[in-house]
Amino acid sequence: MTLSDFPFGAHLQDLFDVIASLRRPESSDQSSDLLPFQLFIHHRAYRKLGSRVLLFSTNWGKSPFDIISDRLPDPNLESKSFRFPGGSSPFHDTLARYVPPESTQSGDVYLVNSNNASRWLALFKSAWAQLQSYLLVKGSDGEYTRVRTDSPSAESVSGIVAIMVTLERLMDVFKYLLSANGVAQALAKAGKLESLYTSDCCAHAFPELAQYHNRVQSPIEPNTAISENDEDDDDELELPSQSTDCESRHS
Amino acid sequence: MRLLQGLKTVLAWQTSARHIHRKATYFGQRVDGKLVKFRLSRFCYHKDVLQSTAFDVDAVLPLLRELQAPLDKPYTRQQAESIIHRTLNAKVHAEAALMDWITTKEVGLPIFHIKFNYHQTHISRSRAIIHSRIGPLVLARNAANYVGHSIISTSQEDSNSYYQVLMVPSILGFLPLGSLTVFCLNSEMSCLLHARHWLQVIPDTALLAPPQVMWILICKNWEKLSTEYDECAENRLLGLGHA
Repeated sequence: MTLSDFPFGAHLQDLFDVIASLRRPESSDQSSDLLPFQLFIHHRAYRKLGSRVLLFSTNWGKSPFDIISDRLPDPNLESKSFRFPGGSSPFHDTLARYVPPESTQSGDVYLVNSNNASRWLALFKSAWAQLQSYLLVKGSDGEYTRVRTDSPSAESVSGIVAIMVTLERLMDVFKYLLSANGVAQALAKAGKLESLYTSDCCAHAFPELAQYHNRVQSPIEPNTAISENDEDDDDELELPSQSTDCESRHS
Repeated sequence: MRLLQGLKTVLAWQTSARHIHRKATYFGQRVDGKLVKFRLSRFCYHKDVLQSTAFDVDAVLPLLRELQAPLDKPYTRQQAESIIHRTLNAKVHAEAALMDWITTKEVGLPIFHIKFNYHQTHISRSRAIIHSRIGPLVLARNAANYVGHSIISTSQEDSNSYYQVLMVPSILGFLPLGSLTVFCLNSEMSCLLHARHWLQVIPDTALLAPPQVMWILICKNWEKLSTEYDECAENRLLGLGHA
């Protein structure tokens, strides 16, 4: 049993113990235990998280960030401002490297418009590339084709959580970038083309996806922390059925 | 858009961890002068697949007749047998339960997801929501909304009113009954309770079952049972060190 392989009962007990131990800081001087909790959750979930990252990276035939990038030379985006309160933090440092804020009387404001859309996208691409490096393994062709199976280091989990925080806080920016001229159409076209991909090719080129598909298609198995049922989670999150995509590939 | 949904899927652990933390740290505080206690009981979960139990219509039919209203037409053997055709296996998914729990507004009244695996059923939805109150699972009225109105229907709006159902030990089935509340809990917890407040579907075997087997109790007096459960199980609630 590695650091990340736990029987369901042990995982459940750990979850309860960790949650029961969470406490609100009694004063502003004390640090919150949110970060250790996030590290714990992502450490336990890294393989499934890796599967989802791989699926997201390959579901449109190539990285969706690349597809968006192809459309950004003429984004036709009106300038829109976003605020990310919290002052100095690693998140703000990351933002500043790509898109420095504009200082106003009411605080820093980050603008998204046609002129800087590509810089925002570069931020997303960089974060995603880091996430892939933590969770995925490259094949002989230099592309990420498999989920990493070895337990991630503490530094890797910290990096994963930092990227998650960044991506979550930038969700509204990402939504706005998707409204750029031609992006939605390009993604829809890529998705349609990918759905025509043959099943044999899919199974050979993306073994993790085939494995994912097999799990989705299999009946509910006993719950364990090691092997969970993706279909159920997707349903809980009200996601589109992944099996439909895979079925079309296998048809 | 699928892209956004896919990204949200990747971010699911981040989002849920943050929400769970926010909710969990709410406990231990004083709200309106009262200490908010942690009420998430690990007895609401069981880690193993339910063991199958033979369905004994001869044991179920007398119980059905005992529980129905006096003026109602007695249940037939065929009706009792029909239970097995609507039988479900259920198990609790820890993360799903927590994800649901964080979305509830009522503190101390967690909602648990139970995943049903259908054998023979016409029910279209694949899940039910089960409200847990104090500890024993109680099949709440919301459950019917999720498993289909063709099975159970009710117009009760009182949040304390639960669907009247019969659940068979280990093989979770249900049937509309009279005006009773149904609990399910494992046999370890059933040992803590005295039989005077509830009827057990198969009393001879319940206490001999391994603790992970979930048993269904039908309660005649909810308030007495809940008080008794509170007294017996106070030290068994999560966070007090009992495994």
